[in-house]
Amino acid sequence: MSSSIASSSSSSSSSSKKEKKISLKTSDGEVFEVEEPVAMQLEIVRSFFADNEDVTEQTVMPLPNVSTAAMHGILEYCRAHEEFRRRMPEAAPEEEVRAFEAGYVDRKSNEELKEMILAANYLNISKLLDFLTGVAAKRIENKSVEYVRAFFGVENDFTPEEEANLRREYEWAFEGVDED
Amino acid sequence: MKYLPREIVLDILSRLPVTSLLQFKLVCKAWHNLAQDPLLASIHFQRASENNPCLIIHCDHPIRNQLYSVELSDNEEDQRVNKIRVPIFPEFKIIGSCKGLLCLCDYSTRDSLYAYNPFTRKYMELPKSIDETLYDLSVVFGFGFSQTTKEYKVVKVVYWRPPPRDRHPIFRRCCLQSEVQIFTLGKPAWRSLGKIPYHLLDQEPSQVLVNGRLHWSTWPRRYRIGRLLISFDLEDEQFREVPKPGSGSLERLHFDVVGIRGYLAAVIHQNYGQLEIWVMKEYNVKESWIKEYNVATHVSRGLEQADWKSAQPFRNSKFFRKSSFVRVLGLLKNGTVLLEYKCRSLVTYDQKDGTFNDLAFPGMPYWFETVVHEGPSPMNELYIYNPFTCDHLELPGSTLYLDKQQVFGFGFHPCTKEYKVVKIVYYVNALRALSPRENSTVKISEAYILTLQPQGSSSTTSRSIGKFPYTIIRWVESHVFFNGRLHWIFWPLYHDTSKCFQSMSIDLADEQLREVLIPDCHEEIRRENSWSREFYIGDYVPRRLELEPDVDPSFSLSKLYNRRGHVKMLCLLKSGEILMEYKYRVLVSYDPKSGTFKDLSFPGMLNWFETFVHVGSLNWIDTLIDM
Repeated sequence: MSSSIASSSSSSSSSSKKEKKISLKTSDGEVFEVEEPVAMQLEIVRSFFADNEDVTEQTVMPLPNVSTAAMHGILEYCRAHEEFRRRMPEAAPEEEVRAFEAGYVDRKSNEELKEMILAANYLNISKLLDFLTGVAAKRIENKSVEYVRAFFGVENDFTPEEEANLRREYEWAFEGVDED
Repeated sequence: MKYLPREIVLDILSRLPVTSLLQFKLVCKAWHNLAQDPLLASIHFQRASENNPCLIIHCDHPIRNQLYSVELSDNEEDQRVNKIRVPIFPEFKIIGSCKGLLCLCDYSTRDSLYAYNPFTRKYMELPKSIDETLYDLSVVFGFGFSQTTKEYKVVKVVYWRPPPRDRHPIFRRCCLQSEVQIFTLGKPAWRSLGKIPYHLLDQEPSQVLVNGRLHWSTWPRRYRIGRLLISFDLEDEQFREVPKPGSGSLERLHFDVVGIRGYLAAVIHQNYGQLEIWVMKEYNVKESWIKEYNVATHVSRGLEQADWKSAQPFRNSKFFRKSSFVRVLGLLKNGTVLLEYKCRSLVTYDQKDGTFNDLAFPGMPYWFETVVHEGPSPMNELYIYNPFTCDHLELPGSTLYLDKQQVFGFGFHPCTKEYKVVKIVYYVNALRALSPRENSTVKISEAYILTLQPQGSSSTTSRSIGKFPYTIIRWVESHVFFNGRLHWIFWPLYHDTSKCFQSMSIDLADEQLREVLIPDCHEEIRRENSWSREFYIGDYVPRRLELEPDVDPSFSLSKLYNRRGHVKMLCLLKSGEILMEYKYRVLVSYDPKSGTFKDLSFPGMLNWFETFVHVGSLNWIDTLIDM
């Protein structure tokens, strides 16, 4: 009971013998031990610890809406950003951040990207969410309607006539659409 | 397959160029509606202002009235030119672009003006106001949007001279006559603002709107050195002189006025296409003019290789004649200056290393004029509609902003026999408004009332009834009209310690706000007022919700899906049963006598819906006052 988050963080900063870890449990039951400053980037975790005085270091916070795969991705991003922040607390090295971010999402499929967006939304990490939605926008920009339907998993509910009519109306918007 | 919720889809879409948004209307019906959502338009508009501008390219050679759009993006390969289908206008010139609208002018008469949104292709023709027979007539236009009054305004400065035979021999020289006229979009007529003591220089198609004011330079004056810099405030409609850059020899030079990222800038042309760009860092402070850019002589590839022989007819065109060799269009996100060279090339200039980069896009016309175009400004449109007669009436709309939330109410008062629309506007923190949560702190609020007039009678405009001190809970979406009053539930007032929701009403006859007691489950008040518990409705899950609890992905994009609320009580039926709507999917009637629920289903019933109790009538809107 004695270790409320405020007192423990101040004690850990004064004596750096052991970094404090926070346990997060994903939907498929895996428990992640996360360094405190990284976990605190997750707004949902931060407010959980700020609002509940009776949580202890042993408390495992359940995150039922986040899969293990998404959690790996999210932690990779948060750890990298924590690293940038630690190295250069004033201004992040912009070039490096951009290089990391580009490499970071290039490996992800559209499905993985969407899963991460949902997780980032749930965990309330506004910076990551902003970044990922930007990536999603880039992926669908100048793509065909069919590609976008597949991307979002939306079914076409127009009749062929309706679709043909609309296509005629916005004909000029369809020039120069990329190959999928 | 994962499905993204509505607010995230909106977020992603808001990052796309307008052309992609139009194209994605074809994805499915839900997206078609989403593209018309004013929320999307307002986030999109906000984002667009952080990005590079969209360019509108006007081409009138060899075919007249051609418009194209280009979205400048970081990735040069993504850039392309889209042709815009233009409605049938007479031969036009672009007067300016402001907040999503282009102002076009009939080139031959100078008196037919159009406000036109090139992306939705909606347009409106403005009334005429000039006497075309005036001698030596010339018109200088201005087009802008006032952030304070939220209105688009067109300014027309008309100059003419009395015909030579009417001139008095002594006053032969100072005989220039002028009249300033102003038109507010949505209003019926032009207003005259009287004479103007300055002879403004026409600078279409770039309007310089900085600090809510339009700017022009003047013609050289006869008895004094140099030109003036004149502003017109769109709010108070006054002309003022603005300090111009430099002193001494600089005073004499000719300059163009441009707006650069919200600052007023002056472009001084020197020999061989060299430019100096001065920026006024602090508005209206003469000392704050600073020379920011020096642009060296540059001959763009397009001009070098231009086919001048075939351009012969173009040399007589309206663009070519009036255009200077190089025009400054603005500043891009990466800090480069965007320039147009003699109707032929778009070029970016990087001040850091002094390099020029000729922009070329597939589909670019050969000779053209460029206008920097801001994204469209979303409008909130209101209609009154009788679903049975299909009779409808459009009410004056209002521009939507992220920092503005609106709540509407609608009712008919039996004594005054008038339909009234109530609009409550909250001005809130713009960033908070993006988040779906209801925790934004309200700064200012105001309520407006609009009384419906029969069509044809004079203006339907809303009147303000002053401040509105309550924060209405918007997710309890429908207001209740009862006893001649509209009722809403509002959040507890700040100083109120009871922390429970309360109710208030607006009386449509005397237009007063009153608080209404609501039942309080915790305190004694219940005994003191006339509230009594009539019905108790227990838990119930309709069969359809039990069988298909999952949400169909396309519905997750709907506005209804994102609303809270599980059960909505609709009305009491004649049989004494209560009619309710469950989760926008099932209509249920409840019999309080037996305590039984019955799911109602009709052939042709929709999957997802929102129900309103409506009294059908043949009340035609244009005669509604007589009923």
